[in-house]
Amino acid sequence: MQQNSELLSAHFKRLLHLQNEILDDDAPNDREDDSLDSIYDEDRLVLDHEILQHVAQLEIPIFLSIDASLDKGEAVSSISIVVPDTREKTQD
Amino acid sequence: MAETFGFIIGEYSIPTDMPIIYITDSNNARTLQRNIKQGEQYTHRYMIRHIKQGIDHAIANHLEYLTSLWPQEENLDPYILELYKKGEDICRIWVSKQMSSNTILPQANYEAELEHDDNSTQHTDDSLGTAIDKPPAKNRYHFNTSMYDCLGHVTIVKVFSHQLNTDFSIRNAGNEPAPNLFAVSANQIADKAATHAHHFYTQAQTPFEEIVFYPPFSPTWCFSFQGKLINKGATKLLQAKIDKELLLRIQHRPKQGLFARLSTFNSLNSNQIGDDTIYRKLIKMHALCWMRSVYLDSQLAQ
Repeated sequence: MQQNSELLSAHFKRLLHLQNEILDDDAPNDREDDSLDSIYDEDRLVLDHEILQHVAQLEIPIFLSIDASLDKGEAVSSISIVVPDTREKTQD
Repeated sequence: MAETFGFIIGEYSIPTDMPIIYITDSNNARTLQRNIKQGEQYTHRYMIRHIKQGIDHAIANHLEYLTSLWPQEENLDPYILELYKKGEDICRIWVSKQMSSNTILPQANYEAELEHDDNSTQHTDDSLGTAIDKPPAKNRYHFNTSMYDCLGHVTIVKVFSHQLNTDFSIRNAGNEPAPNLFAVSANQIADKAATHAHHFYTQAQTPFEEIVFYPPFSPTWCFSFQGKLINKGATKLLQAKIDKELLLRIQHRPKQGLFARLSTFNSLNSNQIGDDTIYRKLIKMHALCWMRSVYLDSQLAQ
């Protein structure tokens, strides 16, 4: 059972891990020259490597907000990766 | 408990050595993660009976396994360590700003409110904002040093939920979100995501076949006896094995083992025999020496 659990863990890792490398499918040509500031202005999905690059630029830990609820026997967990908007002024 | 699963998702999502600041309103999940991180201080028995009590064991074991994979501080890159220190500094600054701006409540009040604040089992819809079991006149707009934990490269910040409305305006006018608008908004974003997930699930009417159940997860280590996991610590296992060994040895004695060999054919059980009788003690194997009891105790002869 321990082995099964470790294999399950490795499977989850493959599914959920933020990829730092740019995948061909994820990087259309029109985004290659975009600066990371565009993630604030454009209504588009943020790619894995953009999240990690943006955090690296800010030089602070990555913030993850967690919440969950239980309603009628159905549990829901949600996590959100959030960053302070530091474009105009330095926040705490 | 569901927030604990959020920690698991976070562990998988973020690269292992990257410092993380979790923002959560669940004191239960925060306490579980802290205790698991400091697990070497506790016995296996205490972990089972107290720390993991009330938590689904598969989830608790899963989190314990992932926590065991955390990199040691001495193995972290200096740059990562610097980022982690920044995370600690951020929390300290948040506290100091709160201390300077708010009237400080007694510590006992903080702790009592922390106990009450875990809303992991409550629906987060605004319509339930005035739940009956909530303590009256609770001040949610504060943040202090007891509300964050620094655990290696992971920091967990507890914020009080429902400081904002769903449109991110301050719920109780005149109050300042604590520790700040960023942290409270982050909690509100996750709260809205969970609420929307409920709505999506309800409206989608997902067929039963598509429901995915949380898989079992093995504990890091455990005691087992005859193929069954035990949850009462090493002492119970040792006593059970000693009793078993004693019974097997007694059965091999030609005369003295007669009673033990025939015990499986005995239709009597201890509940059918009066209290404080030697026969009851023999059946329950509580007599110090059952053969001596047979010869010396007058009750049996009668």
